[in-house]
Amino acid sequence: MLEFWRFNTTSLENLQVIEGEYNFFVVILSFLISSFAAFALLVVLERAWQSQTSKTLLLWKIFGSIVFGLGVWAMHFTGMMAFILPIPMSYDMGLTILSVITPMVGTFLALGRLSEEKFSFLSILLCSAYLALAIGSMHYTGMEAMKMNAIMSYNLSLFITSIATAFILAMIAIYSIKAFNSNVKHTLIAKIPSSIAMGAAVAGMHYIAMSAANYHIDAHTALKHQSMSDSAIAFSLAIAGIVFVIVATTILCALIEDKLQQAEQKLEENAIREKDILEHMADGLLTMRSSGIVESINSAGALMFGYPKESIIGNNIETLIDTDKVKDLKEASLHEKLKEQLGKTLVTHGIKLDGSYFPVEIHFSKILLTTKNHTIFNCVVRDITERVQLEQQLRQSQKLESIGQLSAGIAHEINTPAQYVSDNTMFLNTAFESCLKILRKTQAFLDKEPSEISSSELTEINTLFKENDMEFVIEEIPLAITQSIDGLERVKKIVGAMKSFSHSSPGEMSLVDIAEAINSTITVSRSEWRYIAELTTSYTENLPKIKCLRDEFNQVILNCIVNAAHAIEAKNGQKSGELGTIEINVTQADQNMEILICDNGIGMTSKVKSRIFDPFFTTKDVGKGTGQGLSMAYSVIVEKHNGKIEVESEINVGTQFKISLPIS
Amino acid sequence: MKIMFVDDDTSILSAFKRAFYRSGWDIKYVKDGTEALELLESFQADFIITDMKMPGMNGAELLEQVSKLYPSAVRIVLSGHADEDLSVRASYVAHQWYDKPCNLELLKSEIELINEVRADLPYSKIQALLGGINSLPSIPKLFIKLKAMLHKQSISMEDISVEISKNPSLTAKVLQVANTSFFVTGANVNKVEDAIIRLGTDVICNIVAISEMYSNMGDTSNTYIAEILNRALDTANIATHIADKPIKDEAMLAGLLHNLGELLLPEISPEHMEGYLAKRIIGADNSALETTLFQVDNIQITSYLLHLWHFPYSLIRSITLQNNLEKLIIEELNCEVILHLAKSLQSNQELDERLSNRKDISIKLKSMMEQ
Repeated sequence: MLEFWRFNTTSLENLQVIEGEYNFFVVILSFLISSFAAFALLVVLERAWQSQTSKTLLLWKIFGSIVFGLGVWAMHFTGMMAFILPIPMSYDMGLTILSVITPMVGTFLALGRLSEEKFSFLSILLCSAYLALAIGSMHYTGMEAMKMNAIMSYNLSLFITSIATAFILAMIAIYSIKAFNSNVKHTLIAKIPSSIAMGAAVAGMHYIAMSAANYHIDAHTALKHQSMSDSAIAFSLAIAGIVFVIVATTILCALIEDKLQQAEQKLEENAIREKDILEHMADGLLTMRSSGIVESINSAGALMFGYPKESIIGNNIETLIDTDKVKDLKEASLHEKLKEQLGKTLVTHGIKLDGSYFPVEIHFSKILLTTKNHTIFNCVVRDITERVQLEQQLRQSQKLESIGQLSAGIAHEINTPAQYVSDNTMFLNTAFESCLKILRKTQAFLDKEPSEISSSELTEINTLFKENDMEFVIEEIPLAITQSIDGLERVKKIVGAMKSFSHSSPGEMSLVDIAEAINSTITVSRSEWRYIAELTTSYTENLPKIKCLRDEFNQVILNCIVNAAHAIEAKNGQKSGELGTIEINVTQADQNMEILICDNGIGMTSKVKSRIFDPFFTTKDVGKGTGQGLSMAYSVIVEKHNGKIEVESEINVGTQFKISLPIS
Repeated sequence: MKIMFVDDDTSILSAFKRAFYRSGWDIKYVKDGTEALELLESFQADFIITDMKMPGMNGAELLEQVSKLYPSAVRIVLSGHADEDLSVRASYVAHQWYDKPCNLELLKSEIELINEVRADLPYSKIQALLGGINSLPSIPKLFIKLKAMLHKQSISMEDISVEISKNPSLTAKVLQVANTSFFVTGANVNKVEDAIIRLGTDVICNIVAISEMYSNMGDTSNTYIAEILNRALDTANIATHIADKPIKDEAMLAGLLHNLGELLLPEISPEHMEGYLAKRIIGADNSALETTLFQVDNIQITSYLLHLWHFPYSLIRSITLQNNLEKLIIEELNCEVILHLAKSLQSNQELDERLSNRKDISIKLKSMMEQ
């Protein structure tokens, strides 16, 4: 047998061995303390697993080591309180304090392993060893702090058993930690078996170690039965209480941290999601201060403006958006008027880095939180280049469609003069031949003296006159010429009107002579109304030219004329031959130009009237109306020209459209 | 010759007046339909030439009235409009259609040509003879409609088959005719769509025409009628083979219609039929025989019917000249000549030497025989 330190029993053979006894209540208490400390360790361990930074991990590790170390220590001393020897006993302060440090170090080492969540056999062995050593070293250091009038010796096999028990129970505890770790739900109850195993490791080790200890006294030493004093019970209860408080605090802290971490995670997730949404939305989104300085922008926005994402930040919004295009912002700078623009959608141009313009739609809104004393504004920018192009194409195709519809009529208008001009020319050709015959004869006369002209020659001329219908020819030649000139003028006028009507002004306002524009529209649409109605116009003298989109304005007038003609046709029927009337009056009223288009057609009910500007609403047959005309008219007059279009109508009396356009 | 021009544009009327001032024709210029109808009561015009779109009564309505009241008048449209509805309607009532601006010299020569064709057609006599007959061949309305639609190029094969299928008895007839050996070789066609695919729209239109015309003529299994129909189909088939592409369609139609008048001979006087059948020589000129027995020959009847139905006068000319060798020998290889050739070949009649010796004709016939 080994004979050293307290295992040397040979020198004690002549001494008397005394037996200690236990206070059962305090034993239970000590076991509970160790289990609670183990539970706290597990909670801390779980936090360590969730820690995202090495700093919090370290903090938790330290915290866990302290709590469990304290727990082990408290268990030990509570256990010691429960142990009563029949001699007086006290503790050495220095060793007692030292004994609290060793379990902390061991626990710290074990936590270092466990927090890595690697549960290999080797790792578990190592951890169990750390823990067993932590517990064991605490216990035996604590035992050395005992001061009494007796010599303590250890039974070697029990001593080894105590360490082995701690080791095995620690291993069991770690295996159940492993099981608990792989379980997704880290509930508190799941920690209980592991806590009990660990508690048992601590308590088991303690009590086995206690039984390994023998206390030898002199035979002269007076034995006095000692019962556990009230102060000792209170002391152990106090230790237990303190440990409970520490453990409870630990658990509470861990739970709070868990909640905080969850909230933080959620916040982070939300932030990522929102950032992702903002980054990937098709529209540009920027935030700016009330001074107009851009604070942030998403990728779509940066791409839209052609800037590298970082360099756009800090620019003023007015370098990005053409504010001259926005009516209310002509004078003031945007940020001064920003409040008025909130909630509205502005259509203007964006300015790219390279200075080129592109059409955009902008929507401002205020963000309700103020940071660093700035109010932040949201600004959604939509690149509407494609839409504008499509709209232009649509307008162009509508125009082409209407020209297509008019073309049959226009062809007739041109073909008719072409017919009679060519007939007249044909006539002039034959007539001229007849004239030439007579002229030649007459010329022959001029070469002769009047006396030389015979009467038969005169008769000959006379016959030529009659043969060639010269009377008719003389009468008709000037008429044929005038009529041909008229005819050519008519063709010229129609071609000119067509050119004027289909004049392309892609979205550009120009100064337009409204009377001339209306007249060309009337000319090109003549065949639409000429067999149905008489069309009269009156214009106030010296009407100013006004800024407008000429081709779209023409289209509106055309729609009104065609509608008027259809209304009259619907009232009079196709065959009656009775003509209705369409009147177009243009006057100046203050700062507005007023265009009245009246017909005496079939009129409409108030129900129809209320819907006429709705797109696709039509009362006409398929093929005759698309329901687009008046909705387009509304958009052109009201939205593009800031004008007004109003309608009055009475069934079987007629309809009047009133279009007002602002002059400036 | 009496001619009436109707146009709401006075510039047009006065220009016409000047253009025709030396024509020697009796021309009235009228500015609307109502006035035209009033004037026609006293002025029996041979030609009515009208604009389409006019206030009040339009050209189509005027011509409808004229075709009822004055069926022998030639009805011509001269219009600056490309209005589809109107033109389809007018195709039921007009013989010719000219678009403005139109060369009046061309119009003049056309009028003269029509007048020449009409010289051999005693309209009033035929009209009187046919007046009492109940079962006249019916007007090929659908054919005219389809032709007008095809002319405007706004029609698909489906449209045509839909139009034909609207009339089931006509559909049956069209398929029956299409399945005769003259058209379809190989498997029979059972659907109009198939027939259109196999034969083409033009041939189908022509088949529609003849089906419509015969539809009112009672039972085609009647030997007399069946023989006329088969001869027409066979002649049409041969004519189609002789004709060059541009006139194939017209040649086929001429072949289909060339003997239509024979259908009415038994209606005019059934008692002479026996003698007629005994003496006639199929494929030869029987006009003298027919005139003796029926007061009118079948060519005149055919031409009159085609006139009534507003077929163009170019087709009517082919019909009237089918036996007129004196005129045919100086014609080029046109529909008129081709109809004569097809008709002779069909009935194995000897060709006149003046025709068979012509180089263009002999080459054509040779290449056809080889086929």
